[in-house]
Amino acid sequence: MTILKAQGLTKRYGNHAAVKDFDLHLRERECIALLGPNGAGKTTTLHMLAGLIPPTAGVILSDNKILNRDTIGFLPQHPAFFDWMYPLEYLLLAGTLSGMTKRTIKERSLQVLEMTGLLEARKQKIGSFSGGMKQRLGLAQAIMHEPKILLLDEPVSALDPAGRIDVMNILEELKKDKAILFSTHVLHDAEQICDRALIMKSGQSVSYENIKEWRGNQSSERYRLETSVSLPIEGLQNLYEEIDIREPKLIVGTLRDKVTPNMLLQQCIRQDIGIRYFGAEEKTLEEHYIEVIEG
Amino acid sequence: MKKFNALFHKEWTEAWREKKLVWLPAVILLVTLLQPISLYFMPAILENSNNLPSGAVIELPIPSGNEVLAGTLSQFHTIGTAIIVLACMNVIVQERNNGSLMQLFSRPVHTGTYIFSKWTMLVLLHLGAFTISYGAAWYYTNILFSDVSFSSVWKSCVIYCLWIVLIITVTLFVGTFLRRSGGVAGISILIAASIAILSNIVPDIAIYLPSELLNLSTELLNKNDGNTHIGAVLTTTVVLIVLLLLTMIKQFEKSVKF
Repeated sequence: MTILKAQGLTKRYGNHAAVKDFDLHLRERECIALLGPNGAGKTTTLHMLAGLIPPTAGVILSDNKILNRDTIGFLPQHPAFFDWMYPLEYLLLAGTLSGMTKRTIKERSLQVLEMTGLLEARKQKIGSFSGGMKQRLGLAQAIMHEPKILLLDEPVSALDPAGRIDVMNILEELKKDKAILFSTHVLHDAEQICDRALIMKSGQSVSYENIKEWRGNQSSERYRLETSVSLPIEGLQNLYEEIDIREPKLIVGTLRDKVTPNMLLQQCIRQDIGIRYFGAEEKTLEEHYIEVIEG
Repeated sequence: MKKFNALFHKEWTEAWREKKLVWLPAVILLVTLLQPISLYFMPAILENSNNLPSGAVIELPIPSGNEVLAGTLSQFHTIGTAIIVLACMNVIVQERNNGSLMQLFSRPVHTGTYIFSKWTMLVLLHLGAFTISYGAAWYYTNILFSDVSFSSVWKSCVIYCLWIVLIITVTLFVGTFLRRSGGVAGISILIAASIAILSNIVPDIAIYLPSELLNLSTELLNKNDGNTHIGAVLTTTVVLIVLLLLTMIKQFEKSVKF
């Protein structure tokens, strides 16, 4: 079932179209990454989906009905709070505005603080929080009212590596019962937890990648060979169908018909080339992303 | 209503934690008390200033209590108006610029609820501070000068309060248009000043203009009788406040809030 559907979403500022004819189908319990260079319109798209700015054209539906704002949890790119507040006070305000009752708010706010690892910091004012803590609190307020859909604008870009892994783990957990759409520049993360990736370029969605499907039929024909000395290419070239010399000591390529990886290795041993790494090379989202953006 | 209460409560907590709840009434109290007290000590102050030739005799007529209170109001009208504008200029601008407004509005909140929660809080805070200060000024006037009747004091207070509400509304209104607090303060004071200038340029319509509120309340103190055109001013002011509030909500809703 499509829990969030956008059709022909367009946003114009004067003559400039920030987002053009954008389509999206987000199914239940699905995780989609929104990729693209800066200024591609990711944030504008998320703002439209969150109902913060009205689209110039297009419709946003949920189960073929008009979207109810209560079912959405939104995390802006730079979460901003009231510095004089305590975390629990902010969650109380947020919960009340989302129509929760006082009792559920009390239970739920401790729960989300625990989930985001802020339970220890609940006696501190938000003004004293670090950037990473604010990001976590932003995530806490987004999931506070148990929305079915989570829209996250670069949830990890302000975090240190440990914080990034934490947030990714939380998202992995949330994925079990929520649909998640998040924009990111960290392609590795997108690859890890998303089912699909949507690449945007100058306001348009240019490519829909099905990461799961991709992983299934990874062609294992490409091999990566790293050696300790520069490779004498001439001796190896006749084994390769296609060869990509990335560095003198690193080549990636597909082997010719009837040439097995073992034959390549034997060739190396015969020439007394020290091998540091040999393995099947999977096409990464990063490579694909660069192809799409530059192509 | 629940949402309004939550936002309203937030405004008060904010005012308390940022100590606006302390400094604003204190400043207003200072401005209002200055007039009766400095008038009382004026002869002593003049005597002690040493740039008078020796043997100079100063004879100041002792003003009546009514005149002193009227002076208090005129004094407050200039300085107090500026203080109110400065206290209100940041209210929307700050939240909009730092992004907390956007985060708030990612939830189903009506623009009107948001604006009214701010407006109501500011109005109550300022009117409370003014009433207490005016009451204190009245108390000192009664002690230091002659008695002023309570009935004329409270009438003038109520009428002048309308001016304060108008200034708050104008400042919030400008705040929904501009993104810089300095600009908000400048334009708001400009609007207040141009109302006063307009009443000087076109005296025919002066009785309808809100700037007449000050004259009305001082007149009430001096004469203590109902004025004929009191209804006209009250109507235009209230209509103006309501119009500003409605336009502000409309404009805030459709313009880019963030």
